[in-house]
Amino acid sequence: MDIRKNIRNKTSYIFTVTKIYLSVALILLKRGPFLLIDLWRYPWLFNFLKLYKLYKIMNFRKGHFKDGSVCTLNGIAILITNYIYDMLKNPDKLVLAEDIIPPEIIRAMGLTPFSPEILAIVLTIITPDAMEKYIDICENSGIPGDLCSLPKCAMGMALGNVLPKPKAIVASNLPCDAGMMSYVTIEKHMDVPIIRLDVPYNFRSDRAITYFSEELARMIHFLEEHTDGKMDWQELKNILKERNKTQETELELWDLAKTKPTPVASEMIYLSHLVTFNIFPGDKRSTEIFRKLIEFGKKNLEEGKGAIENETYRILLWNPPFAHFPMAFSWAETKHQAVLIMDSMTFNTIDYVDTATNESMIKGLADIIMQGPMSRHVRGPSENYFNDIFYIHNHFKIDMIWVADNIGCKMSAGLNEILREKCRERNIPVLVISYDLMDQRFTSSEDIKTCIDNFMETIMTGNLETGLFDTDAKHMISTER
Amino acid sequence: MATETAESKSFGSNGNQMMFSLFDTIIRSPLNRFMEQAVDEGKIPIGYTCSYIPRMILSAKNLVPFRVFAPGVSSTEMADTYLPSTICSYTKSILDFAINGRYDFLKGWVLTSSCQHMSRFFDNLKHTVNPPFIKIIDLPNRVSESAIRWMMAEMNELRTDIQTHFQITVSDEDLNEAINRHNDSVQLLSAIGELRKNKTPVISGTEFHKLMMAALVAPEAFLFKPLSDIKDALSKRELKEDYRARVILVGGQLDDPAYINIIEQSGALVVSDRICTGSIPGLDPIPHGTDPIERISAHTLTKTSCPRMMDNFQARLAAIISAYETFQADGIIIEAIKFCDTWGLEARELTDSLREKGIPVLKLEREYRITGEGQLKTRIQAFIESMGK
Repeated sequence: MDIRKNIRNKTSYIFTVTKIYLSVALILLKRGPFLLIDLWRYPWLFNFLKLYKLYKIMNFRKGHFKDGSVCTLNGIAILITNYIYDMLKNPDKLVLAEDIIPPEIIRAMGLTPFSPEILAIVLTIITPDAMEKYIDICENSGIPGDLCSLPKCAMGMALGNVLPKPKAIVASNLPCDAGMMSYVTIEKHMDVPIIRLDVPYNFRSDRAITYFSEELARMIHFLEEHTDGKMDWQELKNILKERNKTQETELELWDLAKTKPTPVASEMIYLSHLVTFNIFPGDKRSTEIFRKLIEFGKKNLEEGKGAIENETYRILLWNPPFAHFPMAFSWAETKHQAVLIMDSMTFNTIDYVDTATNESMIKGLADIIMQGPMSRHVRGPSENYFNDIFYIHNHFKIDMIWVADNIGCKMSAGLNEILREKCRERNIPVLVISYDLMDQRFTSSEDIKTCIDNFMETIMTGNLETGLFDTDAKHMISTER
Repeated sequence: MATETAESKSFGSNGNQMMFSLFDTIIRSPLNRFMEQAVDEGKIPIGYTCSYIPRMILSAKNLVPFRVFAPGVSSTEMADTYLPSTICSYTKSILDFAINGRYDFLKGWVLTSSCQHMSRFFDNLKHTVNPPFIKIIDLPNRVSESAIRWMMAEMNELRTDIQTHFQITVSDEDLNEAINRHNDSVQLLSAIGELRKNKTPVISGTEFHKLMMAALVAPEAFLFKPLSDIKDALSKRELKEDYRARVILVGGQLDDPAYINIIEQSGALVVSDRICTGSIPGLDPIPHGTDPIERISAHTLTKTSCPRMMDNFQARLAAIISAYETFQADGIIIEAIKFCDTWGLEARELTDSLREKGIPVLKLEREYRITGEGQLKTRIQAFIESMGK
């Protein structure tokens, strides 16, 4: 039986991967012979072509959850391929936009947005060591090693001359000081006109929305001045209307995730959001991905099944997921029956954009940027951070919080102890996993697994004799430096 | 002891260094004797942490500003509980002092979102100490007309909050008076600072920094006389050219003159400083005008030049080069506290840009408290030699 099952699994894997490679090839081959030049100029494209590695997640999944996971990966593969294709095809319209800058306005101006940070994340998810070379280039050039590795990737790729030269750069003071400062290096190296958007610290006020709306107006003016782009307000309206639809559909998916056991989980929630809302917001293909995911979730629900069998623990992941260890959640499902329900990069409470007037659209986008995941957690007072955590904890019936403690993220790390104390008061188990967002050499996947194992064994299942751990220690397991 | 040695070496041991002993005393501990006197007189000391916080508002009426520093900090165990090892040691040092009650004489705190470390200092200070009055100023990352308008709104809010909490009225007239006092104070310090342009300066970088620090941590009113005395005494001071190179010090938070003293002991005279507590651009007076809030906001936002201001790299570079030329410096030393994201990256870009212009640069990474004195001296000496001095 096992042999037959193995053959069936392998056949399914090969069939799925072959199918997706054909779709990817159909898009990229439109470049014709230029593709060879692209591969020479942008060697990271080879990393992207190792997409098959990501599909190993299938081996851990069953039934509709497996279908949902494959659907997510397929959707992502196609969207990313198109993203890269657009970048290669349109050098004259290329705008390098820092990861937190949503691409809606840039697209509405007939320009092609491109974010080195998003590219770095996607490539690391596909090939864990994809960015190590660029991190090294960055550090070897004199940039401090203690910075977050995401801006280090962006700077390293720029310094390594493996990014296409854009017509303009849009940067900002988001999400962090390192991200903001990285564009001094990128600007100097690329020698391209740049605009930097200023997001207030206290962004939850009308004054802040007015201030930042003016910043977006400045950005439109800048792009019209330095590129061939022209603002098409009707196109922006179309994009934002579709964005609202995608958001509405995603909320339906989150509603499913509230159910216990959850019929949808992990990549279906966090990876789908990461790619759709950061790369192709306001695109019908993004909405379609969520619609399909809801279908798979509903099938599970109708059959009375959870995404995984014997769901025992529900996880809230705080801070960006382990980019170089995307199998972390499928592993946790199998080993500990722990399932990822929600994460900080996905959850948000952003209103739909009012598309009635040009002004209302800009205000809506201003709100999206300021209240986007990570933006609102690393800016402003800590209430922004804790209120979301405890809301999600209640709303999604979370059992434990895993804090992905990215070594370079000083803003998050500066709140870890307060979080521990607040969780202790509420009797919520919290696990702090020290790692580096983009660099597996700091904490390997094995180290992350060991950390989780220790936490699950000592805290969640209490397998060890009582008395070995005092009540305080119950909440203090971590791999902290 | 080290301080006295360096001063004696550069300017003769004729007793002149005694003139700075008052300032040494002031910066030895957070609660200095002048601050103590001010507290006894019913003044309201307010702690602040950054040059982007306008001292003028905090010195209006019976308020007294105190630039928070942690002299003599040796370890930060309490702060280490709350802040990770990747937070800058200035932040940790002042949190540790705060938790240990070293700033209990302060009646309030005004902080700013100048960097992420400071933002989290605000959160952790509130969580651990929970001062009765604590306010964080939302500081724009750009200098523009709309940013100045934003800053004015912040300043008005700060004034209102102070008035409400301390039950005082801070009128425009009070603010104008505070601005005038501020201008008098910086003009006096500027006049002393100008002496550093001489080929054989009568004041060392270490000594000047003592004056600067004292002016930031003691009430202005108490310092006019001692500063004027210093200015007069310097005119009679014996000159002695006993240094190998003239350097400009560039960097962020540095509030311990002993660090500059180590540089000077190694043979490099610090003739100008572009640091948070230094003379560039800290000693620019506030221009005349009608609305004090507008004057304070525009001045604070435009004159201070931290790497956190996204669009101003070229302006900062130009200011450093200008100082290099004006003060006839031989080289530039850039110091940044480890884990400071803004200065860490700025230091790299400044180093490259200055070297491209043929200016010798030494980049140093340091902790808030002085560590590795021997290594530091070796690096300074090697830098001086590399300049052929």
